[in-house]
Amino acid sequence: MKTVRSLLFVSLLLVVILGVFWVYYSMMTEQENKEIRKVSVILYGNSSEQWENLSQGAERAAKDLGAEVSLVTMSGDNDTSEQIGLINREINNGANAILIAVCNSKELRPYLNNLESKIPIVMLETGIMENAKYKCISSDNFEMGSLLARHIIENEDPKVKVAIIYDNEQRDSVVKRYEGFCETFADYEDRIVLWKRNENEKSNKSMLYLQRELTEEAVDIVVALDNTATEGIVDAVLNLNKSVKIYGIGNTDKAVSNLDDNTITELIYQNEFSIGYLGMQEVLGAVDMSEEELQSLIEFRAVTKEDMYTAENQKMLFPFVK
Amino acid sequence: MKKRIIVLAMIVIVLFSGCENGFGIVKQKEEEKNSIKIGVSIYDEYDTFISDMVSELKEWSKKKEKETGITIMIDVVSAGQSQLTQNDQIARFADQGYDVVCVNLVDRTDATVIIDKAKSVDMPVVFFNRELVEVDLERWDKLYYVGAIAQQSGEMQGKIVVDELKKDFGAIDRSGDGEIQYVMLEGEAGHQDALVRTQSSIGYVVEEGYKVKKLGDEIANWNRAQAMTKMNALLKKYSNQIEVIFANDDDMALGAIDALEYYKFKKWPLIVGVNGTKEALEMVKTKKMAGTVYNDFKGQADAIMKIAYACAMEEAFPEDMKLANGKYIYLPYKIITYDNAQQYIVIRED
Repeated sequence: MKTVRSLLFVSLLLVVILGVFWVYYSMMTEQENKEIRKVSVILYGNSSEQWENLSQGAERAAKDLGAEVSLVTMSGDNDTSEQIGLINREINNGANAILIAVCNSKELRPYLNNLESKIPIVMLETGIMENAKYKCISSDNFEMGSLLARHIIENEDPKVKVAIIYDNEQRDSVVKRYEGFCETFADYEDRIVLWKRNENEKSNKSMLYLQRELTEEAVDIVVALDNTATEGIVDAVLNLNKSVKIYGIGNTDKAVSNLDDNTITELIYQNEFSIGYLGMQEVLGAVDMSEEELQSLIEFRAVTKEDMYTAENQKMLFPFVK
Repeated sequence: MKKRIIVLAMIVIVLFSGCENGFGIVKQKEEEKNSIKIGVSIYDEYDTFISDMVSELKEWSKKKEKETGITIMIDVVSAGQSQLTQNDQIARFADQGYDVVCVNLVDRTDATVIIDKAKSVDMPVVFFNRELVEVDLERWDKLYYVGAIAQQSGEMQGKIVVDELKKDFGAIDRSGDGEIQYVMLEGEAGHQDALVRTQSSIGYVVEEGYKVKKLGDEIANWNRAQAMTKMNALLKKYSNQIEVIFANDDDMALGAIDALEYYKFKKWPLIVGVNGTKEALEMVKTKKMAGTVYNDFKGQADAIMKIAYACAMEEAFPEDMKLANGKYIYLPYKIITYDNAQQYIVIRED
């Protein structure tokens, strides 16, 4: 009897020990089986603030697809070697896919076209010009520039003098917008002046050299082709208390606020949330569309103070509650 | 039998806790940080001194990344001189799980919203350059401040002027009335540093036995363009009567120079600033400015990042860091005149 009891006790003990180890093993295996894809989103500029809509779109898609997003910004605006370093770092750190807004289309082109990457890469907002190895998801930049020009022609006095801020032209998004504007404004090209940085102003903030331009040359309208130029000219105008109309392309909360208080006359606003969302879907293989198809899905609108609160415009300008 | 049941129960408990701890160790290893996120909110992106500091913060993080292999994401945003905007920025950092934030307050008396939000998510805050009130800093043990003492900078400005007066009083007192006529370009209305610098710079000159007369003072919001506009108005009104220009910072001193150059003044008043920015040092070197007061942006950036990094990594602060009251780091100012301007130009570039 005693022997039977002892045997029973030992058996029970063994069962319990095995049971504990089995539970432990199951928990460990479950951990290993959860494979979460990591997507690095590498953006030009030193602040994620201007990319809030885009990153929200990317995060939403990542959540839907069970992926993790790592947002990477630069220390400056336009350092190609830094951005290449960041791409290499993210690949070496095990990123499963990369979304990138290139800081310099021309300089990054050879690197990206020659990159032997085993992971998918998709460009956002600005590409590396024609025949690129990787897709670029953006609005129709040429049409955005053209739309700005059309609205100036329709709404303003035929004799207005127009300054175009020609800055960040190292990105093909800005180049295309500029080309679109100039082609539509071709009949009035004698009224255009180009505002560019002097050699000693290359590292200055936009506002500083735009202040110089505003004081040196009287214009009626200033055209800004991207976020930095739009915010820069707004700051310059407010700082110098100048009266000038601003037609800009931009996406930031600040731009929208400046539209609301009439500092900006018209804002071309693209749906960056969709750029981020579709970009994430594309890079994770949830969709596979041509660049043209993707472009057709990225809406942009011309918005003024008078119509910014229509249902359609609100949806794009204020995509989520903060 | 009972004994066996007790023994069995004890074995089960030991096994489970052993596995739990083992699993916990594994979990802990998985959670070891290989990247950190630092949010930085500055009051105004166009403040030259603050821009220099931000560049240093980024340089520090690049070097630290190379040294440790830990990825440091540093996200810099500008509040555009709006405290509401800054509150929203900190809220975003908190909601997005940033490890620590560094805040250059817009309104030094209005830090409550930021502190409450940071505390609610256990996100330490390193305030810098614009000092918040002591009562606010004491509200939580993970709040810190890095800066310099404004009184010292004002007194040093005063000393620069006094040293020039001692060298050649007559050359400065152009009116010959034995009084120094001056104008003051002030930072912001009601701003602590602006008030203290204004007071202590003139106070030093007076205490050294000189008579002074204020012709005018204008608020130029630490801004060069605004300072130029205000100086234009002062020059129109007082012209050659102005013998000394005190500017609460270098950007405004440069604005005053812009105005003097615009009006092609032949005989310039004495001009003094604060911060020791790159352009101001060149002005001191070319004797367009009598001097400036060096605000050690490199030392401050180093201190800010050491605190921020330690907080983010949940490590102790480096042993060589001595925080006053466990919260404050103040770095001393230095006088810069023609004699040592070149030395500081090199220091800046290192």
